[in-house]
Amino acid sequence: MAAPSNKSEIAYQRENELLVKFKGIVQSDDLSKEEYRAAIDELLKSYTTLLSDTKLLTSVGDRLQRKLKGANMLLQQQSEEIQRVNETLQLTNVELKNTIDELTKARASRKAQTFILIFVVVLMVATEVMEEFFIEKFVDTYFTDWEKIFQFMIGLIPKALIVMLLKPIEGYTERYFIRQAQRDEAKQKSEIQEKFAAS
Amino acid sequence: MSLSPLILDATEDTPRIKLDPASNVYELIGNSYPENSTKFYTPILDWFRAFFEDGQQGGITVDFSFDYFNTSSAKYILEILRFIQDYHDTGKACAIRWHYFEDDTDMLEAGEDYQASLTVPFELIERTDTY
Repeated sequence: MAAPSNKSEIAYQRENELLVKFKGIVQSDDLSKEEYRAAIDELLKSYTTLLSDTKLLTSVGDRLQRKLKGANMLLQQQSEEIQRVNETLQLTNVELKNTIDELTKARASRKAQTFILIFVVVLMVATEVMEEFFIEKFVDTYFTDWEKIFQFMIGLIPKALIVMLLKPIEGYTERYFIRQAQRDEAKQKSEIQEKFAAS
Repeated sequence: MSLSPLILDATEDTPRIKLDPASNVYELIGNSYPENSTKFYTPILDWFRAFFEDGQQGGITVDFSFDYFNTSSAKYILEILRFIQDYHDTGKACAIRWHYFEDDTDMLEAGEDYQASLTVPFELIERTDTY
């Protein structure tokens, strides 16, 4: 088979060559009956081959299309699955964040309670010492029995104040520790982000 | 006449081509859906034409191993197979080995379709590795 003149037609060179040949035969006036019969025979064989090739290529083409469609469907399914997993992850992330926030709050609350406990104990001891060493001596010297009873009632006021201020002080201390924990968390996050950006 | 080998590396949409008489390796492996099938396959068909027209060459066994090829590649594959068939018809010992990945019934059936249109020895071989 000769090299094709038009390289863009190389896939159909056989077919084109046969077409040119039989066009020539049809246009020729000086062929014998036998030559025409031989040409028709060859044309029939070529046509049979061409029909067979067409069927083969159609069948192969259909099969490849089916394979491609199958691959596309699989990709679609995987894409949908990935989306579902992403959504689940996002929900889980939100739950995790809420849990972390609650843990942070609980930890800060515990710290605040410990702080308040120590604060109250110190204050109670301080008021007792003040009463024992300073106020009672002063009252014994300058006050009557009724006045001493009154003084005792007055001595309860600091303790009552301490008890009433417990809750507000605890709330303030808890918020302080929560803010501190959030600042530490933000600092940690930015350190991690810087590390990732650097790598 | 010593024919130069034709070796092309695989790309995302074209197969690896190795046509080397020196090492007696003739293979087309990978995916074939080039943007311009004519541009890709013309040198390959020219090489086969030169090989078959060179009277010094002996028989040839060509390995085809595709994961996917488009319709225009199917036409060029058919042309290569026809070249091999014509060469076989001159009395040269030729053979075709069509490889398909296990469970890839589409590629197996494509090989069977090609096999049915040829008389040159045509072997269907199942492979388990991926490229």
